[in-house]
Amino acid sequence: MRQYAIKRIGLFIPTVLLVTVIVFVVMRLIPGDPALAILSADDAAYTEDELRLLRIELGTDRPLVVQYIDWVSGLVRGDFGTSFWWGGPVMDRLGERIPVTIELAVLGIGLAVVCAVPLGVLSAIKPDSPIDYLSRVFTLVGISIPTFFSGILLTLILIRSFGWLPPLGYADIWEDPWANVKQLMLPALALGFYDMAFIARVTRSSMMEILREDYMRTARAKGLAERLVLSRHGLKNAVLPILTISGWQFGRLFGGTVIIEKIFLIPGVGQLLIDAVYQRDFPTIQAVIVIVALSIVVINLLVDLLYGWLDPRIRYA
Amino acid sequence: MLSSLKPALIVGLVIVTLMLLGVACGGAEAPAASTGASAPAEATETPAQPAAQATAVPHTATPPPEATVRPTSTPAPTIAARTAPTPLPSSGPKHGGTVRMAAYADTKDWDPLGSSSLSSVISYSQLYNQLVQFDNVDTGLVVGDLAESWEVNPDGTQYTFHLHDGVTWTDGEALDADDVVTSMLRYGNPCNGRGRSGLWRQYAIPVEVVNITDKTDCTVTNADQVVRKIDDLTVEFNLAFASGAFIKFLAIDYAKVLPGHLLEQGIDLNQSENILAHGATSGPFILEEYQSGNHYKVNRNPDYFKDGLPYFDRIEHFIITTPATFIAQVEAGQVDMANAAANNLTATENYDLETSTNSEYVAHDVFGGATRGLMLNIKREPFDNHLVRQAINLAVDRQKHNARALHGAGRGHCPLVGLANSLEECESWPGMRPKDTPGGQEDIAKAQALMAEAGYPDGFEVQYTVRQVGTYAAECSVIKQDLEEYLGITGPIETLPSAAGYAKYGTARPPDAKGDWEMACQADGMTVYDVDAIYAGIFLKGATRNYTDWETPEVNGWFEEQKVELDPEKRRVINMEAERWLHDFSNNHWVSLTLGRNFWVIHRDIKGFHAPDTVQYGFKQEHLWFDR
Repeated sequence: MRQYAIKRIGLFIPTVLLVTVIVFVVMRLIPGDPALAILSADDAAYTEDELRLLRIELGTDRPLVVQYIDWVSGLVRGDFGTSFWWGGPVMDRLGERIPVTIELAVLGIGLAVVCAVPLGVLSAIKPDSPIDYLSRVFTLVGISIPTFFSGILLTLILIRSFGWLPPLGYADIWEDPWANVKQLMLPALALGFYDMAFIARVTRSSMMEILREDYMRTARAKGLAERLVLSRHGLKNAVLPILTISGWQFGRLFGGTVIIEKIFLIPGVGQLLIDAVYQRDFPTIQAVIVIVALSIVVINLLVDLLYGWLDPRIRYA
Repeated sequence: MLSSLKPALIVGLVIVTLMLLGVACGGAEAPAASTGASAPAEATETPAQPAAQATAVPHTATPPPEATVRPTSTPAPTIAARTAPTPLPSSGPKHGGTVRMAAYADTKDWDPLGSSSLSSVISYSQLYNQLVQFDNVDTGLVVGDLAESWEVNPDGTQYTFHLHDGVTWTDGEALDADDVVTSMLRYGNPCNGRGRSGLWRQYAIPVEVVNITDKTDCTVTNADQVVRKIDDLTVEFNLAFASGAFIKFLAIDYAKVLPGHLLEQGIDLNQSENILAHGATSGPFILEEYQSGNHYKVNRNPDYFKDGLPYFDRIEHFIITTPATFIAQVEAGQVDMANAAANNLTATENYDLETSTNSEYVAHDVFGGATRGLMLNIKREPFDNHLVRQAINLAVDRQKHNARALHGAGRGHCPLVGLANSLEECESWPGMRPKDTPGGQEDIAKAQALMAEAGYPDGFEVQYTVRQVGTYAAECSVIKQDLEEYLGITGPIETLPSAAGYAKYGTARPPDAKGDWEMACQADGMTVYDVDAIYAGIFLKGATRNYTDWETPEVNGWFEEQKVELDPEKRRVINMEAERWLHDFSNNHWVSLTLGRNFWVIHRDIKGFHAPDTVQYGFKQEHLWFDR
């Protein structure tokens, strides 16, 4: 197991380094000049001299290699640089936004797992029953509807049917938990809708496969209660693919938050990223992408380690 | 066999469903009344009209007879107001209430220095004052803000402002001439970006610094020649030449006076936490909280120097950037108004919103946001041929452009947007006439003849470039249809992210470069409604939208002549001549298309609103009140 873990962690560092290079290079390859974006906001006037001076101030007039080394050495020290957009340290704003996005993503995946696993199990143990058909329709619809659309759809249903929307603003979970839940539940539902369908589908097929295994028959033959057979022998073995999918989906959720945060006015990292892209705020974009990439790499690493721990065949392979 | 498991699972599902329903139903109560039922008793009394409003002396009331400030040179073009007038309030202005406003984008700056961003000026405008401001009712008229009165010397090159006595910052320090001088020298300093806060630079004696080349020493060396403190309540501004437009650029919400004592301590007022920590603002509202990407909230300044103002107790601004969300929030009654004539909706969507809310919300027009045009790269063939440019100007269908790209909300206009020749007059000119009229047909025939004369009887292939913002892509696609149909000019439309588009246009700037673009659809944002803004934006060498640095002695001559002309009518006559010449297109680079329309979406219960002339000012919100 230790060797397996070392091998996995060993891959982590070059992956992160590669991410920094790709992010930095891509940001410079796409057209658009941050100084221009700042000066020409709302079609405002500027002179060539102002443009030149602002480039000096932002440091974008320096060679790319110098800019990259400067950025990476900052990263190592935990300094993500100064925003081109609002002029403050990027880390300050990330510090405000990251917990919000994590909360949204956790709620999203939590809702998805809580709803999807029972649904998948029910569907598997009662194949071709009405509940199975309902579950299959639900998963088909859920997988087919993109996150942004389910968000807009949910908003429309609420506003047209009940004249209600989640309260405006954002309340910190530690200061006003009830307001926080009211504000985040709907976006979390929209965010987790796809994952709910996907996990339910995976659970169903995984569970159906397990139900046909010999050891399940053995468990029943020795007189175990059905509840125990399903939970101890069935679900425990079916959970491996669900775990992998959930880990992978958790990373995907960060992509979904970009749109959902915009629609539901949630001040998270996704919204910050969109604003930063519009403003050509390189330091913020780079910081957000590196952090998201890092978190996905970390989650995948944890899932790999967990997988190895749960299934000895993997760590010895 | 499965019976023992089934109930557990069903119970689990029911619990989850109930949780979700609980959340939905728990919040289903009607949103709290915005006027705030718990407002203090005195908050509902009806005050007398604010004293400061009465004492803020407009320029016309101030001697000497040379006119303290030149009045608006030209009446704003008339375009019928589409919306019904807001019903008369049941009584006079009332104090109290919390108003919830939608901001179309997050703020970028809390310090006006170098700021050009509309979403930013909306946020900091309530915290600070200018020397002068545009009147709340006659929104094109400049009146005093911090300045109680002002005078202009006989040759129009020196403005002396007298400040209100007894104005204090919220930290208790006096607001005086030092604050004005410090603030204005920052905006005028060439080391700093001009933004919109420093637009007055183009008229004032230029601020000089020790080393501007690489910004190693930005110490001002000629401060007294530009902005000078006479005494604690008197400040003198010196202009490079007489100009009536100067005062308008001081009156926009960007030209704020900031606390000099904090700036001198090196406190970065661009960071909201510093504003919150040091608490030195002067405006009608005080910042209470800013959560980036979500909201900012301000409370009434109880010690505001204008007696009785503001009326609202509190304003909560929520950042709503997606059109669908804005519509949903308005329909749910969760916002009372947009805090600017910007809400990311099209004209049709704004009209539809009025309908869907049974006119509870009114979309108030602003007809001076931006002048839209077709930029021609005169450094490249075939646009270096003036006959081709003339033909394009004649063949473009402004009516179709307005109907299809701007949802019929705009109006075709000539180069000086109705500030010289009236829009009615200009509409009869060649190229402006509807294409289905005899005049329009004549224009098409003339355009085709010009193309033949230029050597392009069958047209040519060209690339259009647009930025992926606003309606630019739709605009170019309408233009493309016209030019293809009438002149055989065809080609693809290239769309680029905003900054990338600007970068591409900028490739035509260097004298020896031709630039990487050919034709582009672009607007020029108007900060104030004055011809100087149009010249500086489009028709002078180095102008923002003059990417090819097109220049003619004729236009330069007219510009110089009109900018020092203090008689509005004489100035107008000069500009009328310039406009005819520009529209004839014997030499021009910018095909003027349509003036767009923007909308302030406001609940009918909010009173005291008068739409400004452009989208770039009118954000202090000190005169708004609830009639509930």
